[in-house]
Amino acid sequence: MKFVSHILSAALSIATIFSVLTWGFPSNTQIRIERTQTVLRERVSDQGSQTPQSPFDSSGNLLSGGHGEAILRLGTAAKPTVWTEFSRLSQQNEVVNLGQGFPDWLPPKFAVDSLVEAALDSASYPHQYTRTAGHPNLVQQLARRYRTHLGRDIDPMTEISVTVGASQALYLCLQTLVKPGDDVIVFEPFFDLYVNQIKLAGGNPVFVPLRFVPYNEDENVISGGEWVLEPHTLKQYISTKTRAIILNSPHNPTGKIFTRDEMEYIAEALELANPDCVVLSDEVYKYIVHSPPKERAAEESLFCRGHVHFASLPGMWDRTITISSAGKTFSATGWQIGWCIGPQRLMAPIHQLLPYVQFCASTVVQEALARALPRADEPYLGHESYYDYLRVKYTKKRDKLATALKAAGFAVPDYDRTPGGGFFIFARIGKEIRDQIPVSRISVKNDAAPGGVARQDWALCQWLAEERGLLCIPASPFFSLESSEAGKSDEFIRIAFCKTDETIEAAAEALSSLKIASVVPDQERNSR
Amino acid sequence: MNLRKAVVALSSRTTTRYSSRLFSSFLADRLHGLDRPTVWHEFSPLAAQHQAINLGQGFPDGDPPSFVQDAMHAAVFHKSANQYARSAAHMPLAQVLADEYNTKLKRTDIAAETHIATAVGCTHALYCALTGLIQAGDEVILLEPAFDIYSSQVQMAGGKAVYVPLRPSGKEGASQYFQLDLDEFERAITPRTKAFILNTPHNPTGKIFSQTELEGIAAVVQKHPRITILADEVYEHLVFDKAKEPHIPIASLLWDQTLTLSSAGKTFSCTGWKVGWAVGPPHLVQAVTAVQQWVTFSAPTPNQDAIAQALVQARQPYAGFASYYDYLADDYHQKQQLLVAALQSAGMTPIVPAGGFFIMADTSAIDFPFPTKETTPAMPATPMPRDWALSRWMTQTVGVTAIPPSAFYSPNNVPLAQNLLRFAYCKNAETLQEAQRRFAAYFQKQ
Repeated sequence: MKFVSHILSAALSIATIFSVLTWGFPSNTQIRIERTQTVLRERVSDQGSQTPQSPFDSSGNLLSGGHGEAILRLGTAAKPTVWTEFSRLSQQNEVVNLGQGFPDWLPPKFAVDSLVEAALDSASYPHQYTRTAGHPNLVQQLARRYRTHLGRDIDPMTEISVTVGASQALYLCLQTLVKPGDDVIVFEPFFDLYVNQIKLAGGNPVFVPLRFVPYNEDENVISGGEWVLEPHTLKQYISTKTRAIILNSPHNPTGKIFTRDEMEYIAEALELANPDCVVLSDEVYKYIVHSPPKERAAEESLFCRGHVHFASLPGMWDRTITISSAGKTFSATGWQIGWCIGPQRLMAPIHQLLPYVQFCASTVVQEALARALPRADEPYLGHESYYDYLRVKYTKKRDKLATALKAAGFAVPDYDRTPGGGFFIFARIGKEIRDQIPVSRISVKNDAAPGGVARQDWALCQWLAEERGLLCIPASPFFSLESSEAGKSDEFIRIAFCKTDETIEAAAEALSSLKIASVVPDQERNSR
Repeated sequence: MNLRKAVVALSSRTTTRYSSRLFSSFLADRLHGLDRPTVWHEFSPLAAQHQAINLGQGFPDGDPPSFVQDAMHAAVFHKSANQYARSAAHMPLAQVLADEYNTKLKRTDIAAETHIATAVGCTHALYCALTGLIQAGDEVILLEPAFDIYSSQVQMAGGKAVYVPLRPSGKEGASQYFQLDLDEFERAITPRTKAFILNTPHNPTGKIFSQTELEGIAAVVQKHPRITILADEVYEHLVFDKAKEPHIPIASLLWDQTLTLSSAGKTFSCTGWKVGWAVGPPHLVQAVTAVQQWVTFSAPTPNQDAIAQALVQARQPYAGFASYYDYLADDYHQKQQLLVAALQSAGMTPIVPAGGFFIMADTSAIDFPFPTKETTPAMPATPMPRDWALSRWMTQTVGVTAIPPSAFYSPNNVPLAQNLLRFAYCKNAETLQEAQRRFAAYFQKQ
């Protein structure tokens, strides 16, 4: 037994060195390997006289412990994340939750009715397997709509794939496009799912920073501003190794709308990339453009004001996969219906994979969406269409939240001058708020935070959740480790307004306690 | 029925001729062969074309029981049921599953938060499990005949499928007829073996692995701590003689190395709902949840919510039976008997299954024009295997469609399938009776 433990300890040291050199995530890989070794030690001791097995094979691959290639590629993403951590905080504290990106109301009645009807319509076999690439009724509806969005005929059978949410659409695109060693460009800040899916596909995420341009350039003033893509920046990072570019507009977390010009920079820059480079255009928030750009672009769709479909730009249909979903639009994130649209040569590999990944997405929910889509075009609650209603609803909520944030000392975008969409405000932490964050909370160790350290934005959010009854999401998980460690995300937090007015009002109250606190004289504050 | 035929016919059009150019991704090697049309792409349209009775693909032609549909109806009106579920599993469903499996496995430690994952059907649970467990070059043992999705998923995860055939013994009943040689199984294990997929009740044979067989398998696997058993038990409630041949979960014998997978689709006749799950020790469940978090994030919530309710209801008395599960097993048993009679009247010898909703029938007595020089995109080999040719002929000439089991064997073992056909009986009585009429019309004239 002693001999075995010596071998295991030696193996652990080798493994640690190996993992540090390979993956550069010493602490987490170490923890994982140590756990594995413990399991092995226990097993070997159970087997008594069995010949002890080395935990590594002759090529140095870790044998037992259950970690497949996918988990190894995910590395730190297989441990606690900002989502698990803030979910825990929301459960352990009484908070107004403006963290999660999903509504706290029911989908519109016509959508709920559609699901009920779909479930009851025996004649259309809603309860059994459907076509793997997408339920015929649904793909027909999607083809109809995208014909108008993209200004071209879309073949429902060969140019559309239905998936379990937009997340899976993106996952499958990356699985069919990316080879180990390929670069995939994401614009920073980014939805962290992108980076982890790129890793799962064996690719290298390449971060192209959006630049924050404050309205007031004075260093001593913390004002709102806009996030812009500068053409020279993109050209610095794009190369023949670039296999895909993930474009997300309206943008999570900033709410930015990529302008027609910025989309043209991307289209031009494709010349410098691999000839097979594909743009993956994630458009899940496209029906929530609460502040459209002043000028209507020629490519703007009649159906969604303020949104330009990248695939409709000249020459871009062939180089683009358009991804969207029902969840944000119909306030039904739990339905998990997404899709991707593109030329047959890009869709065909996804069609090949779908039968093996899950065979098909839920039939009854697809049928429900197929029924709901035409209904959404009809007048709704006094508006021209459900989409108009949705945009107006979100605009009001945005204003409610923005007012409360400003009053509390945050700087937010000025939506009269800056276009915006989606249902998040990316707020900048003002001086008074910054000064209230207990110093002991900043730069502390935290396994879930990027780099294992809670910087200002994370500390603020954790303090707000634990002491002020308000849950928001820190900005650092939306930035690369390098950028967050350089302080680029320190000043921002993400707050959702896809919540009922009551919830937003409760948030406003929690925020107002910050303003009160900031005018309390220093002596009193310190004596508490 | 016409819509159903149109649906599957249309699905065959998604296959393209682009094959080799398409896969320039890292999946290129892994997807080798996966761009070929499958047996389903061939036989569903063929059945539709000839208006044959389709006893091929395994989905019911009825609706879920009303208490299940009602559960979906109720779920839709809850706010939380329309938004993202907890990624690992929707808690109401996880709680019910934890209770169910503690009872089934006579344990008390299965906890909803740590021992349960839900996914988009059992197929997806298996996809996530393999993706989370397999390293490139790892081997996965499959028993043949094997559900065709297994080998594709293993390949996609970077693994290598190693086939161990169930061999015909000539004995009565599917469980005794299809035998696993434990020595052969043990010899298939190498230092690179990472998983073993055990499907019981078994598709396509209808075999239920016995206590003795499971003990033998467990004893072998226990010697190899690296191996995880992925136990696919989707037919667990379709068991026809609970006294003589009950379904036994192998997790009750080898908990630490088993991930038990199942789903709602077959049990509640709702294959289109796609609610599946994986249950086991936390370190194995994590393989599924870690992958799912970034692939889909979560399975659809209204469906999970409805199944949580359905699972509880199913334990109540139903249609004069002690539970819905008892009713279900009885219903399928009657359908099985209908089909057994029909097959016998056609001169075939059905190998009577102990569970599931497929029958393998011996077709050696059937005379038909063979060998054939024909090839199809899904079966390019020449000569075409006998069972494949027979199934095509039976569709076109007799008007009944079955699936040729060679689709479930690796190339080396295809000869084991030549005198067999797989028929599904998850169909209503009228469909089965019509099949009988067609068999009678053709074979009794001969």
